[in-house]
Amino acid sequence: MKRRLALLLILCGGLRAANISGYIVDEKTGEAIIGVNVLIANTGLGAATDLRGFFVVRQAPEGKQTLRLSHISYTEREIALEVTDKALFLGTLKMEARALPTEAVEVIGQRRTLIEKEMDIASFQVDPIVLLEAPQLRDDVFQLLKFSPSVSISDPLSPQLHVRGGDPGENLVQLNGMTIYNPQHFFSGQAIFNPYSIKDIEMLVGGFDAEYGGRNSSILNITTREGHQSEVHGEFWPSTSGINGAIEFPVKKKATAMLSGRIISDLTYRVLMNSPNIMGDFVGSYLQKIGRTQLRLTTFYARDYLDYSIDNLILYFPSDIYENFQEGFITDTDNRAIGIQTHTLFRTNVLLETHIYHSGSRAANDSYVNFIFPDTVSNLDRVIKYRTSIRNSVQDYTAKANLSLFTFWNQTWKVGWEQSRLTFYNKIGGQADTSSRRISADLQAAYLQDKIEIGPLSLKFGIRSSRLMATETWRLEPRAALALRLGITTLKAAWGRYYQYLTTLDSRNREFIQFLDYYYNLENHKPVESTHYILGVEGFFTDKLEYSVTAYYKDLTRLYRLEYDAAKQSLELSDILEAGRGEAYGIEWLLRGEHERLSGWISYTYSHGTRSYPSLQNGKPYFYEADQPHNLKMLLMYKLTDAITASTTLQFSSGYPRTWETGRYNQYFYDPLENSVGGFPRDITPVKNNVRFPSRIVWDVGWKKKLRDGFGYHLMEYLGLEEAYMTVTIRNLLFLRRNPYYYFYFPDFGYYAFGTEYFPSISFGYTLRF
Amino acid sequence: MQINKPKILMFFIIISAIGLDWQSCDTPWQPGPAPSTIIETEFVPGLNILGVVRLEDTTASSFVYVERAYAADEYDTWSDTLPIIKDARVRISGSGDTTSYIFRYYDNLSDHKYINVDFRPVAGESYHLTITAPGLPELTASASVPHLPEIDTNSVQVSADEVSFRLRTTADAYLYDVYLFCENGQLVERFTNNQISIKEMKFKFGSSLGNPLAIQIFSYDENMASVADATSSIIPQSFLETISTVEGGYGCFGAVSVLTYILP
Repeated sequence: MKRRLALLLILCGGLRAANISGYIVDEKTGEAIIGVNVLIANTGLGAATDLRGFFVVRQAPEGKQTLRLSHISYTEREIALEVTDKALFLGTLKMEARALPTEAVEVIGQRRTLIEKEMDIASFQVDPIVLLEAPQLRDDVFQLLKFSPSVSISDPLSPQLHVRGGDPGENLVQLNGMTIYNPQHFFSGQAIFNPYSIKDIEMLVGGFDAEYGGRNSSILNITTREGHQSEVHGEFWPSTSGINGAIEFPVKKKATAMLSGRIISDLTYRVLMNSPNIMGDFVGSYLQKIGRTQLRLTTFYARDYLDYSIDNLILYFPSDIYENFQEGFITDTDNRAIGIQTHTLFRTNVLLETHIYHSGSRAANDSYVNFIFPDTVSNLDRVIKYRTSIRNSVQDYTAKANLSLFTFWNQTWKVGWEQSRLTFYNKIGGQADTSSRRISADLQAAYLQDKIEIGPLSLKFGIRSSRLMATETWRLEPRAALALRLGITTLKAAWGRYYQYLTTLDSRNREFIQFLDYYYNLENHKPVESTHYILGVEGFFTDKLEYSVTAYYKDLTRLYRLEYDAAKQSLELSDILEAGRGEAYGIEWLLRGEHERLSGWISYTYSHGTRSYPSLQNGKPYFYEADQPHNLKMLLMYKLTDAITASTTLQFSSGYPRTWETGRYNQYFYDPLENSVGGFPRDITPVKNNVRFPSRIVWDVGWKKKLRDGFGYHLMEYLGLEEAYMTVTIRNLLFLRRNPYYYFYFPDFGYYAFGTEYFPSISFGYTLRF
Repeated sequence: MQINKPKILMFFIIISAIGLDWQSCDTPWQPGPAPSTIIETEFVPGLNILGVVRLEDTTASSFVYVERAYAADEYDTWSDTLPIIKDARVRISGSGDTTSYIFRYYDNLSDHKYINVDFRPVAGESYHLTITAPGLPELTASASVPHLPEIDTNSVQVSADEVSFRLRTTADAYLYDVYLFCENGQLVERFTNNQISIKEMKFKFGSSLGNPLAIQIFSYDENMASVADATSSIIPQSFLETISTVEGGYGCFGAVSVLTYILP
């Protein structure tokens, strides 16, 4: 007992180390500044601010010291301090923004944000300014993430991303720390996050801290802007189909707010095709500072609705065509979240973060194709009756708390707890509806992590424990990482085990484009499990040009297969879930930075991934849907003048695997009233993913110009606003270079490759800022 | 005149890039780039059938329709005649019956179906199908005839715009189609089933359909239900598990029971 007491006293003694902490904000806007270098002059000691502008400089020497604050976009500032053996909290420090000379769009931030950059081995961080400077990204976070070396796709029209050989359902997306289910619009495939509202984008692609769990492939953290402390500012982008904008403003002395929204309705579709459609998303963020506590309220809502029916086109075709032909689909989805976060600094050594939120997603999708094509020769009518109907929702109520202790020997202890109540509703229909299934489950997790810095060596050990139901045993998820700095080069390694307690329905072969994940919880089943092994090296060629080489191996120890046809037969998971396994490995090269007016990144990835399930090909491994061994990606921006940025994006990748049919047979449709038979050809596909489609090449360019004359400029002046921009995007510059999407067989001709990213196009945009 | 070498070089690069770009075009009248093969896979030939054992008071309503599967590039599905097999030997035998029934093909008489006018199925009985055809593997299959459901006649209620009744389903029927016939048309409801249960049925109809006349209920066995509720294939190059309830070929051999109730 005495020993334990002594140990506790030593630990508490550590809490009295002379740490210096504080927050750094923009003098004018009051917004937290990420990535400010905070250094104690002539000591080599320092830190960088995180997402909230918070920093802790560890073990500052006693005496008179000078604290130097530096950031590329702000005027450097020095602060004289008298450091004693007591911890020092500096409160909120302000920095003044400075006008930058014409130079490249910044892509390397000297930043330490949600994750600790010096330790993190597998992340992709991008300043959201790239979204606004490169119009070919269509203001879409997912389009941007497709340029990450860790991401591959199985369908160019789908927003679903595969990260390092994982499945889309293994990606966690968080908005200000709240889990967002199905974070994409059905109608456009875009992410439901308005780029004007985003302050930071960060994706962890492996080797996560013990703090993160519940998804095995990636963690995408989207952080919204906080608001302006003294003035009203914003920007909006009007177009013929809708409006997109954001506004920031002060609420009172120590509170700010930001509101953003997009509402888009395709008028062509609505008028010419008589199909009601709407797509929208809204974010509200309120930040209040109370002493050493920051309180943040975030609300989010997104909605998609589309009702299409061939009947609406009756004006354009002879009416008799509809006698034997019906086709249509209705999709109705929404997403909502609301949460309160607190961030409280007790003394300078103890940081408490709490978060309570609700997040929900609901999807209702129906599609049908029915037709009868009379055959008077063979007397077997061609008949198809195609109907899919999916109802899926997930409701998530979560409370979590994290406590960080900055203790002796430059250690940072983190301990956290998380509790979620998840409610799932599922209903799958084919020609006949099945019964529905509603089930609730409690997900609990706790973690402990220690980070130690010993000279150039940083070590991180963590353990996470989680379980789905109160009746199930706790499962341990150990994690470890190290970083060794050797001059300007850093060697990194990470290892970790991960569990995921929900799975998703694969509707890829039933929906032409799989836009959504349909979630199922894994009650009474072992969770999805994987182990990551990562090794990397990174460094700088110059101050602004960094490189990284990362190799990974993922043992996908347990995966589940849940396909639409099976789910249609039964909603009992024990009947329809099939357990399998897989593996993924690869090596990624990334060169990123700035040189004079040029900035951006080039990456090359070599990777492979497989799956195996007992019922498919006797358990033999096959390539998973997004297996693209070679992937070359480039996103470059060139600042021609202060007012003009030209950009180009290029993707050159191996084709994805697909299943080639060897034969066909008629799938029969029986009419009980007539006691007659109809049929429709169905492909015979004995081997899954047995061919590889041709390589995919996509090259787009963009242009963004700050207007100084002309109608757009004068409109901005007339409205009393500050700035106006015009964007131009040219897509598919490799004119008629086909990227096949499907092959159709024509007699006397053979297979014809049908492409989607095919014809070049040009589009314009206009943005107003105030 | 002084030659501007950088401008000439830039001009040359741009022209070359445009030329290369054009050379890389896949013009629409060309088939386009072909996929590469990872695993060579052979087509496995076989018969493709729909056999229906139909329980009702009508002669020769049970039938077997026989085709064969074909290679993907064998012929045009839409314009060529179907690969109907007319010279197969089709035999059905019951588990409680030593008699085998030979089903025959009658050209231009039975919509390419094989029929036997003497075949009378019995509810609850299992039937075994064997088909042989020249050059193709033998096909075998089994099916059980579902028992008829029961309509609670005391529960039948008919009004000007609604018909309702209670239906007692059976455990051996996996799918039901319930039709309400009216003077000018019909309504249908389809539902899956896997147990004995009482199901409340309700049809609402408009005046344009006229007076309700009869209810007809089709009960499908497990084989017919799995095919009837299967999603069709309309997405190319996607992996599809073969829908089949037969051995040695493709297709379905199943049973359906028919119950007709005339409304009072």
